[in-house]
Amino acid sequence: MTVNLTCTQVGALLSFYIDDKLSTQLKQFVEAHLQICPTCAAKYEALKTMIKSLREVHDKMANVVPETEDSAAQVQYNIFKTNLSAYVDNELDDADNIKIKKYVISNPQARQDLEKLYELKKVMHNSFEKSKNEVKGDFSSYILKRIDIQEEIYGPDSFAKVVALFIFIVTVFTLTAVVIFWI
Amino acid sequence: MSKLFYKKIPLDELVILSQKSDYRALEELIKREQKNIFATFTYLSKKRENVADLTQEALMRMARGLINLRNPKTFKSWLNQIVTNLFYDELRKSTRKPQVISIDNEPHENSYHTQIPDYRHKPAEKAMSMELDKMIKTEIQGLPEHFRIAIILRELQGLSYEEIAVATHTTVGTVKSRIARARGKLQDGLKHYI
Repeated sequence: MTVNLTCTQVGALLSFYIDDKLSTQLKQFVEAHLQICPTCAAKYEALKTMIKSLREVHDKMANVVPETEDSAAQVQYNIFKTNLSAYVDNELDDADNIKIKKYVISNPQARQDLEKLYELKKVMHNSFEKSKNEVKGDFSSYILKRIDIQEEIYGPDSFAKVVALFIFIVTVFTLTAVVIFWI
Repeated sequence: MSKLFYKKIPLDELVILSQKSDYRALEELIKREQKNIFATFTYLSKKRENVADLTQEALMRMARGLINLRNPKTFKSWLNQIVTNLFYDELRKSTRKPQVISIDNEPHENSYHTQIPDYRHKPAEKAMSMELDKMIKTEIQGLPEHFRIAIILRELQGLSYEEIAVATHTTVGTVKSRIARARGKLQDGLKHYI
């Protein structure tokens, strides 16, 4: 059975036809009409190009918009990461502390980040404890010896001696001067 | 007094005793701190052979400067300031001698002169040191120096952000972001291990 559609009917169906949302039968009717009606065929072409260009613009926008959203989200995430790291170190003020706590409770991704941070801390701590035991030799005797030598030369004791000697000489000189003056 | 006696004294008192020229207290103090300082320098310094020298110099500065430390409670952060300053001195020394490559020599293809070694990623060394512990060291040493000193003072020395800010002459905010970024980089580098 074929149904000849009128131009008005086809006009109403055109956008659905372009979106490929018609039933197979209806699609065939529209196709049949487009082949015989140049006006509707022209309308169809015009609509098709318009929709195509609209889609292009939309796609372009779609590419741009998520990007800015992404970078804003990235900035937000970086701030969160910084605060999370400070949270782990117990260096946040009370307000930020509560914020992070709430966020971590409600967001599984954040919780995972937190756990990873703790893991890193643990691993670093263990590594450090290990390297502490790698120390070879004892520096204390060497350093004490070096300090001893320096103190003998410049140390407070020798300085006091020099000052005492100086005062002694000055007194002797003044005394002699006084004695000579008297005589 | 026996050595055992000194071993039991808390750090604060040990510092005060050392300031009063008690040599055995100073000896104990050095013994207590040397491991910590040595380990810190193994993370800070890229050159393994410098670690012992740096440790010795830091301990020397500590022993000599101790008399000028007014508040014994700040001993830990004061000591770390010494470590930090030494580290920066060392950096300055090493940057003063940049590696020189002659451009006058005939540039041979694959010549040994034209190949500049990349010190950050040593494939051979990386392959050999698969052990996590060594990986951590390599990763920390690969961090930019400001990040390195901040994360080490925090994680290994346990300084507060404020103390780190004082030691590295920056603000608390900077310290906060440096530590966070250092952690991010470390996590990135070690993601296959932890």
